Amino acid sequence: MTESNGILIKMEGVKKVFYTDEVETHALSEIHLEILKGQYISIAGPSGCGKSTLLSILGLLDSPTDGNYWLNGQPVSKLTISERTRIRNREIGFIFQAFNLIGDLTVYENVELPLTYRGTGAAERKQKVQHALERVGMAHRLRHYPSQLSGGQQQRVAVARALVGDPLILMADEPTGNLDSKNGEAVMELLRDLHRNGATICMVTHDERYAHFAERNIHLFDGRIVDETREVGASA
Amino acid sequence: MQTFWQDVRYGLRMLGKNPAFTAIAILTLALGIGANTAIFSLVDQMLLRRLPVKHPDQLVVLRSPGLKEGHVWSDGDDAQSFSYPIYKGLRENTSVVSGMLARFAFNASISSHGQTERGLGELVSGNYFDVLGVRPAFGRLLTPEDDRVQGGHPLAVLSYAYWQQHFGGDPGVLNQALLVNNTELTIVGVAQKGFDGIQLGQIADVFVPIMMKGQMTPNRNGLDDWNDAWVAILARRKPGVSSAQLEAGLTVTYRPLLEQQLATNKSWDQKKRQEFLAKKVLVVPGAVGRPTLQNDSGPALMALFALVALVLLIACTNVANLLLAQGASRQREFAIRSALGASRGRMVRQLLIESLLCALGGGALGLVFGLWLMNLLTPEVASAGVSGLSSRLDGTIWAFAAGATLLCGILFGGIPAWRVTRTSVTQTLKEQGSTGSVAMSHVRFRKFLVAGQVAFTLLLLAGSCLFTKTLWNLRKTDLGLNTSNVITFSISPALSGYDNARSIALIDSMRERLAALPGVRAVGTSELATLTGRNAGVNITAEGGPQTPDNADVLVDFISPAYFSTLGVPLIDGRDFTAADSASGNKVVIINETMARHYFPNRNPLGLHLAFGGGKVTPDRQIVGVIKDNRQDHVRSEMSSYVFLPYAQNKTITGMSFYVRTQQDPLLIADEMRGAVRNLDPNMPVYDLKTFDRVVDEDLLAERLIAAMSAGFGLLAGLLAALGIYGVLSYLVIQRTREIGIRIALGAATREVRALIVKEVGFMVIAGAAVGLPAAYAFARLSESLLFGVHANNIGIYLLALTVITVIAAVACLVPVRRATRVDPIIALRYE
Repeated sequence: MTESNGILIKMEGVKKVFYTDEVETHALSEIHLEILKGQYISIAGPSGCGKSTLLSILGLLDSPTDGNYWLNGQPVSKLTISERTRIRNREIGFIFQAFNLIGDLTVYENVELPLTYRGTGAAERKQKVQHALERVGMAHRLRHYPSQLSGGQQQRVAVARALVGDPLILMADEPTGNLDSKNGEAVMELLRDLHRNGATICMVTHDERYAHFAERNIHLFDGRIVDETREVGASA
Repeated sequence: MQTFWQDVRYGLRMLGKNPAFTAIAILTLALGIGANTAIFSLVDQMLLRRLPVKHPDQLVVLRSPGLKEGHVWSDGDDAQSFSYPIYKGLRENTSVVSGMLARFAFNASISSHGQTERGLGELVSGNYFDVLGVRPAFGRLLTPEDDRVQGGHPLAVLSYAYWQQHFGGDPGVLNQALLVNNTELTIVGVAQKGFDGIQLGQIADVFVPIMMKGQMTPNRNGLDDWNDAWVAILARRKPGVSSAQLEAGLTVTYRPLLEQQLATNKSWDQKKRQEFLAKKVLVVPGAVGRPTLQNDSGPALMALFALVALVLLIACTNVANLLLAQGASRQREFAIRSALGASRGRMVRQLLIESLLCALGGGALGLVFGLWLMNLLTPEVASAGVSGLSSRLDGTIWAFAAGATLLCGILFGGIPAWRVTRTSVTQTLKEQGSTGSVAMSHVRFRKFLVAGQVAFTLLLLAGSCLFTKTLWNLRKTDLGLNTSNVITFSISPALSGYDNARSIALIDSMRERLAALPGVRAVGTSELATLTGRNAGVNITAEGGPQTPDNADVLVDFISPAYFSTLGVPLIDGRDFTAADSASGNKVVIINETMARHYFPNRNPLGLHLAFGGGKVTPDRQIVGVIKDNRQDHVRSEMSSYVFLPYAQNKTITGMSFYVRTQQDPLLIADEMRGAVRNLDPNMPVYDLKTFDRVVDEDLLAERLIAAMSAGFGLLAGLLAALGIYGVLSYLVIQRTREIGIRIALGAATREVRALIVKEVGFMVIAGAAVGLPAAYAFARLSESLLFGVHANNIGIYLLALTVITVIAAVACLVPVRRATRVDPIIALRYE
């Protein structure tokens, strides 16, 4: 398994079982998945089908109960917490449905956060934050707090935060779920632009309209991939 | 009213719904209120309580600071002692007071029902009860008619307590004989209930006309002696007369009296005479009586009270913090109430009622704790001679506890109530349902409260470090004598009718008997009980020594042979007294090192002479020994010049303290010692029988009390601060779980999450220290008179206090930090 294949993510037989009291819940079963660099993939399915669990495992927020997972050629399913944290910080960018900006930090500080944890120098941080915010059109709101922004603007800032560390992949969990249709469209356009510029994106959505923005659509049902379609001309 | 009860019912239900919160809040408040109640009871009884007399505010105590001539009897403030002729002159010639009384407390050997006991008497002027406005409970009180002839009024008025205790309240006591200091007095009445003299700590058993002075203090009459200052004077000011007018009026009357006194002194030069005549009469408030104990113990008690008030403040801050946490979780409830039309005032009232109910629980439990603490403290204080203290819950204590409870309820409940009900309805309802950024204003305010708590705790810790160090230093002080395995007791032969020669013979015999007891290694005696604060000063003239007024005063005591060896005081030159140093032997003295250095610099004092008194006297007492300096009157007193004389050469022995060094535990021979005294005189009361270690403990009572209490309060404050920090951090972690989840998702490592929480603690500690350390320094400066061997600018004390609070904070944040680092980002970020 090498980078030269162009495979960024590879999953083989990934399972996730949750144990609560005496009940076993199989959230994911036999997931086989490959995502190439530069691909824009959407994961769709009904509520409770395991979309978010899959995204959590893809984003190294969670680990599989069984199976193998390679990220950029590196096996990651058995990594320690600190190793996973490091990879998450450097190679994955997250966009959440609820934006998850920190209310007490300004727009600038929120976007700066991943770089701070990476130990990036102040000058470089400033330059990268500025650049990321310019990419999402929020450079004029540096000193604002999240509560002073609209939902669409907050999600743009969240996208900038995800981009700022030049991650290998962006993980977007229902990025339009908290937005009205106009702002939802705008964010999806932003993601499409990013993809056009080479970003690899993995998005969870239950909204069919937005699933078609991706070039690959994976459908989950009861924790299994039941279907995969490819959009012709998507993101183009 | 109906809504009020509705609120009360709802408040009780809310408290019952959160039993953990309620229990912690009530317990915290109980500790604070209880400790304050106990200390307040001491403050009230020792500093604030007014005499139970008519219009106590009108009473003043007379003082005349400055040059003194002759003998001065004093129990702390020389300036309060006047000669009887001066008292009479002031009383008869001044118009600015409506009455002026004289009083002198004396040790009394009281025999009734065939039993002799040591008690306390007050020699009082005939107008004493009239000026004070005290009424008889039974019979009659003394009047000016009982104040005419010296030795001619053998009468006694009993205090109510003494009458109850010794005569069972028997009305037949009137006209019965009472033997006081070997003089038969006739009981004419009983003073009103609750009145037992005009000086706290000196509970009078019997009041005797001042004309009986010669009989009550057999070796010193003093009624005609201008140069014997022994009378304390209290006056009742006329309505409308200011203190300044009073002092001016009394001083005008005083001047000719001073001139009369000066006529008896021919040896003073012009400068001294002018200085003497320039003396004024000053007045201090006398509502609490003679403020001797108040002056002695006031600073220590007030320091304790300040510390314990801080504990209450910390307790209130803690509960306010808890309420804020609870309030934050009830914001939705109040938003709904508001949406339904409740006014803010109504909601504040609801919360205030809840906090007052909580305070009420704390107050009730606090009273129980306070009573327990009072029962613990009162006997300790009383054991050091502060008689008349009670550990009962009287009206004042109830009122204080109720006031503290009410204040607590408003203090810890008011601010949270105001803040919790401040939030806008729409915002709150919206926030509760959304995942937007969490409003952190409550957390900020709680952090501010904890920072305040840290500041108070630092102050308390620094204070307790200072007082503990003071006690440590005093314990480590080289007393110059060995206190272990020594037992002491006192007798007063003169009060039992012994003349001087018989007193000396009795003491000689007792020394022999005691020395013969098995296990006794040495026996010594001194007229003034060592390390009990008693001393006697006298002017001396030293052979070839300096003669300036500043250094002519020395302290003097009459002792027995082997006094020094019994107490382990080394003789560094010359010899000890022997049996040969008798009344008919050569006049000899032993001096201490300080005196040798001061009066005989660069000379060997052995063989030189000194005399008592100034002017043209011939030094006739030969110095036969020099002892190493030792603490004689107090553990913490400075070394003074001391002259020791053989008791056999004392012409006016009143009492004697014995010191018996034993091979084993000295208390084992206590009964045999009593028996030895009984064999010689069955009616001789033995008093103050205790080990010498106990004497030292009693001398250090204030220091021990303040060190123990401040350490206890410091510990309590530390515990409360830990609870406060823990509470805020736990709440903070819960409030910030989502944020922490976001940070972890974005790559924050464990150490970074840990740093996030530690930073919060750091802020609280630093902010608290920024206020607490200067406050601690200011407190230390104010308390410097209470310190010994340690100063307010001792950096180590503050560093220690800071270290302790840092450790407390570190321990308190362990669990919250652990929780924060274990936040599962998936759960934290899950959108519902």
